[in-house]
Amino acid sequence: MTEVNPEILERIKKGETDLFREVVDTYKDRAYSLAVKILKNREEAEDALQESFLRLFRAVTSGNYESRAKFSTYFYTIVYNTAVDYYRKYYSRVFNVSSIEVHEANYSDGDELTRNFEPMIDRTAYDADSLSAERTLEAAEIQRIIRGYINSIPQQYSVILNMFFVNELSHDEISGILKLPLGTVKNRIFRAKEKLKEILFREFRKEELMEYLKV
Amino acid sequence: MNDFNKIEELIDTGMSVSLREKTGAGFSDKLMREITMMKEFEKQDKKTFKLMNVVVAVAASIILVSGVILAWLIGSGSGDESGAGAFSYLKDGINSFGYKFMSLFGLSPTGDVFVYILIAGIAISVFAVVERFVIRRGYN
Repeated sequence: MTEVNPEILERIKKGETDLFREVVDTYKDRAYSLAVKILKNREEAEDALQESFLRLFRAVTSGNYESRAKFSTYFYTIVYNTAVDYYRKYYSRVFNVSSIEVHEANYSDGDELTRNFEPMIDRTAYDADSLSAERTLEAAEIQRIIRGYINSIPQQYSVILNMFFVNELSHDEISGILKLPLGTVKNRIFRAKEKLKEILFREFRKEELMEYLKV
Repeated sequence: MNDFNKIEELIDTGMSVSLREKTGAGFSDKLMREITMMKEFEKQDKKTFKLMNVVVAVAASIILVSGVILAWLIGSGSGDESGAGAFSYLKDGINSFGYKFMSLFGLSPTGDVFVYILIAGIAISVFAVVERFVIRRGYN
């Protein structure tokens, strides 16, 4: 996991503010992914992210950020709260990450994870001459399915998945930021992965997937 | 690595890649410009705040000193109604103006009343200025 060197934060606090660019470049894309998942709008997400970085800058320079806290967790908490504030402002409704009740017992049932998603496989794309071209197309197809699936799932899942896979936060950290029980966080990640696996196995044979992994 | 782990890896990598988004070009530049501006505004604000504190302190001191002098003049003038001096002259002037002006409304205030009103007005002004630039500023 990429963490900013605490020495850099200390130097920013002492007045070397140009070094803040290093912090921005380290976190901007991953934090932006999180803001987009919450706001579902790129422009608003960028505004929220800019506001988050300004809040972070003020916290670092004023000494409000204590280096005892893990920096990435601290920053992603700011991003989450800022994006949720923007969500309330723009959509005039509460962003409720816990609105979907998850029961482990029925995770495999047809549920909200696949409600808005139907994978469309373009089999004509497999009429390629060479094996490597076929594999590349297959890989692209798999990636397209995964992306379509990610875009179709509710925010209550995509935010957690983003925090786990992109922001590289632990289950505990996610649970702390979202104020959700640890079990719920683990369960949602598990369910989302299981559903994706199910979709991929429905569209591809296991051998095809293994071939993709060799590319 | 067995097949199960490989599929898990495929899912994890696929999720990680698909979830990623990229900020628009020039995001960092725009943000750093914003930070530079914010710092500049903060610097200017600090300067203005310092200057205002000095101005308020000087004004308050002047008013306080004037009040003390005025009080002293009232005290020294009270024993000798016909005495010479700037204050007596001022008081006489106020008296004559006050009588003429206020008699239009059927009132006849003395010069002392005008001085008290003047001091009260000054005190209100000082409070308003201090409240505007020092007390309220301190809350923010």
